[in-house]
Amino acid sequence: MTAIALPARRTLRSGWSISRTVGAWIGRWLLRHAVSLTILLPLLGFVAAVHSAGFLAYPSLVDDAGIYVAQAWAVAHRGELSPYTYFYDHAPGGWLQVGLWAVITGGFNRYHSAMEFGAEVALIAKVAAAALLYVFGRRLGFSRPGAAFAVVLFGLCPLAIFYGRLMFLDNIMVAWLLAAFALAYAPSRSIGAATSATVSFAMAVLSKETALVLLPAFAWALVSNLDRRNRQQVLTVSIFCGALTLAMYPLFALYKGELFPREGHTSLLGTAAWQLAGRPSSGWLFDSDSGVRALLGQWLELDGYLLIAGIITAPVAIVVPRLRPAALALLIGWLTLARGGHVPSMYVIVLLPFSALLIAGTLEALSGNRRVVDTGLLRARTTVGRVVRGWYVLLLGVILLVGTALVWTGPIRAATSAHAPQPLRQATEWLGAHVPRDKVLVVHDVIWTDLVHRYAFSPQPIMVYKLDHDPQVRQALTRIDYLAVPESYYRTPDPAAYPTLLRARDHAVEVAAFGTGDRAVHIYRVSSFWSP
Amino acid sequence: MCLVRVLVLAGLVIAIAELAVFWLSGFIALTAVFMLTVAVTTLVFQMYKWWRPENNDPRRYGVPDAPRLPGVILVPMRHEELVAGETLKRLANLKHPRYCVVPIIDHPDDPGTAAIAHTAAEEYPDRILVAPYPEENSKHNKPIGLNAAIDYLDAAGVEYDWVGIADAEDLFHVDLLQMIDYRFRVTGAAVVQCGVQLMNFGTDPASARLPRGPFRHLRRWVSAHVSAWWRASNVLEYYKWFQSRLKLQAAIRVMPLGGNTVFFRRAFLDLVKKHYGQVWDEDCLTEDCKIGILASVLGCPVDVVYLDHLVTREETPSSLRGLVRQRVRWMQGFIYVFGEGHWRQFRSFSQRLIAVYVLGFQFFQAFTAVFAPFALFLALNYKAPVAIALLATIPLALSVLNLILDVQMLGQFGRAFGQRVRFRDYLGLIIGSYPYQIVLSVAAMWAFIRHLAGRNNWVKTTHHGVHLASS
Repeated sequence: MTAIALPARRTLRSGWSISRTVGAWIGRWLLRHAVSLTILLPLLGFVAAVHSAGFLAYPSLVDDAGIYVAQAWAVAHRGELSPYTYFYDHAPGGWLQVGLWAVITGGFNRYHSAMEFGAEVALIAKVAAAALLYVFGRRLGFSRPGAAFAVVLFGLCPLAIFYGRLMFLDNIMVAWLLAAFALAYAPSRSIGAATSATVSFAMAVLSKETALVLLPAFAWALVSNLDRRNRQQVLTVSIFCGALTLAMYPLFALYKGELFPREGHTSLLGTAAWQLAGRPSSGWLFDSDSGVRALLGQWLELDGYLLIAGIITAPVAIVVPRLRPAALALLIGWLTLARGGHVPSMYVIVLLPFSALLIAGTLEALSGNRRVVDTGLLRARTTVGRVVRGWYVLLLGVILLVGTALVWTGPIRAATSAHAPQPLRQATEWLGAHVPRDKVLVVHDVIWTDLVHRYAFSPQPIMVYKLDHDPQVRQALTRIDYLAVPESYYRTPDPAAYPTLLRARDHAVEVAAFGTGDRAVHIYRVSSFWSP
Repeated sequence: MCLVRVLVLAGLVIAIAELAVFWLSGFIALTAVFMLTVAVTTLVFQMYKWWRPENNDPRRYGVPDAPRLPGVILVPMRHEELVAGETLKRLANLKHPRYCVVPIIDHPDDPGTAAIAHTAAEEYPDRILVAPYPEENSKHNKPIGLNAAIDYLDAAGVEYDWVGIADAEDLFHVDLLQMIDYRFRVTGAAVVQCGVQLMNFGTDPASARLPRGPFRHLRRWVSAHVSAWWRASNVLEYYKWFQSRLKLQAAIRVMPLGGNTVFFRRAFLDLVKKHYGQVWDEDCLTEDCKIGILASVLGCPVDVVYLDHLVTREETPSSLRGLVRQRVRWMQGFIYVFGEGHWRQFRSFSQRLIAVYVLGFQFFQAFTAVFAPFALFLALNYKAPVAIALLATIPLALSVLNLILDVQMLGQFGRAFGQRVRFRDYLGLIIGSYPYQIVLSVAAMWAFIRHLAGRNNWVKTTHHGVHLASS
């Protein structure tokens, strides 16, 4: 009889434990990614430092960012989705996350102004997006310098700094979107990774519904990373879980009885129909006096290099199979812009990381990185190929970095140096110091949260947009005591946009003024003999 | 001690009832979180085989070399005249140089099977050795027979390194022992568990027993169609259990074993005997579950092998009543193992936690599957906050996902075993999935009541040999 000893019974002593397994896994992970971490962490620190230097003064505050902060405040402090009636204008995922973060960290009490808390959230989203862009690049097969270059492009682009500093839902959406793409390319090809990818994509859509247009690109990325041995199960579980996460939004509306349009009720489908068809189009990209064209002009004025280089490299990227889904994402982004329809200014945010990725990816492909491009046109042994690859790439990289530095130093310096204080901020402080708390204020969205939360105005101030557009507000309105909105509101081309506001100002005297031009904020005291 | 437990249990039930009455939203949220945990873990456990591509690689077990460890296969038999001959003949002809088959027969009680066994032993004198069931014992169950057979073999001086267990209906694959032998040597495992697979899933008349009397073919056709709804679910349960669940449990080293096609190293059995006095627990209805937990407690690694062509093919219980009986026995056995408390000797908290989960799983799952729609109904009907209604939706949605995966898996099962899966089979699976869970929860309740009443007699599953047709 062959004698066989049982295996050493060390397991008897310890047994299996979750914490030890997780600990060992983290240890292995750190060891495996040590080099990447030593590159990435300082880089992220630098990006974060540039991103946040001087954020108080630049850019000037925008109403949309203010609304989202106010809604996050409503989530955290009132347990509601909006301080006013929630009318399904956007999927609530974005500010729910912000509200949750505020609850966990006491966010609205940590800063002088809620807008600073909003900037903190935007910074977190930016750093997360930059880190995920690195992961995404590495998983596409980029070298470490290549992936880091993409992070530099995305992190330091003046356009990304401008829009990235405000709490737009798009910033949160982009972070989730990059997470979705990075997870879709997970090397483990496990059900867990694919499911996390689809759930992340669903979170991106719930954060800002415009992410949905990138679904074909994401699906392509997911499908291109499947393994024959578990393909069926991976697809079933991940698609179902993604769809389930997404379905939470219509289910929410359904459970509240607000899915289908009804008389006197807000509804998801009603608002969606209005958004898709009822809103004024921003026109065609190729129409020289369309809104989109003007917007593009604004973007290019801030910085054109990243956007244009991204568009130029996209056709090259399409030749490389590995880069195709990302290239498709960028193309869809641009096509949506060209199609016409309503385009908000922060739309550009989603184009930036993909542009950065494709630029770096194209360089990688041209340099002959075998993990990005193993066969095909770019691997052909041509003289051009040999010249482009090898040491010339290093030269090219240096030239690009120097070029980037030359081009962006000016705008970045402008964005990070001290600016004049923002009029809206000054107005808030003045209101807090000089106005009794029981007065009725009509204010700009950006300062609303501070007036409610920090200065405790009660009755709560009225957001200027809601004054004429929310039936509940109009019903409850008996008097207006103060107006504090930027001058641009009184000069809107369409006088029907804010009729009550304009009439109120006709019966008011100016009591304080801050700033100059369109952004200037004049505070008016409305006559007590006038009632709206 | 028992009184204290009952009091604690009663207190818990009253507390939950009070919560349900006075704060329904809280109750729904609590149950929803519990159901969500169960649904997610169920999903993860049953998808383990497909979680990563390499978990499902056909080459993951390696290619067996020439077998060399001597062994025995124990075959407890009682009133198995229908299948005994066929089984013994098959078991005597496996590809392995040194093993013997040991049918365990109670001679005075069961002369029919005894005759078949002895005939077979004469036909294969160097392969088959009949072991007697202890006649002085009035109780009849599997662990008593197994323990007696081990003693009998030791007394007879038979040389063996491993002990395999087969049920009277089990047709081992001829190459199975090569793989077992190889896995024992390369993994150093104390136990190797191989896949067992129920085969007759659908509306195919051949999947049901041919009755006697008039219109027998028509009656068989009807009975196959009428019972297809639970048999498909039953078949898939095995498919998931042996391919995924056991593997994950082996990886985290908390595992109840299967009742057959399981192979133990002799040294391991000696170790168990040294620690606990007997190898298989003669009072336990699921001695297979218990010895698995003991192996885990003793820190002995278990290897799980599931290869489509090597699995042992079995049949679903002949009737729904048979299924319920079988489940009641299993669940009662699990309660017994839980109550005995060997799992408390696990060294790490994680393992103790998982042991509670694994032993209680059948109950949690039955509760979750049956209660999920009601939780959502309650949340919507009694105006719970929308967030709680959404939370209560997720477990229900995950059971839908489970059903989709089941449908997919049934197709895969058909392809793997060369059986045609027809549309009505899928339909049966879909229609039957919820009632099947109700049947399981009825069995769970019954098992619990039987356990409290202290009734733990053995209810044996009858075998008709329907699966023989398909193999």
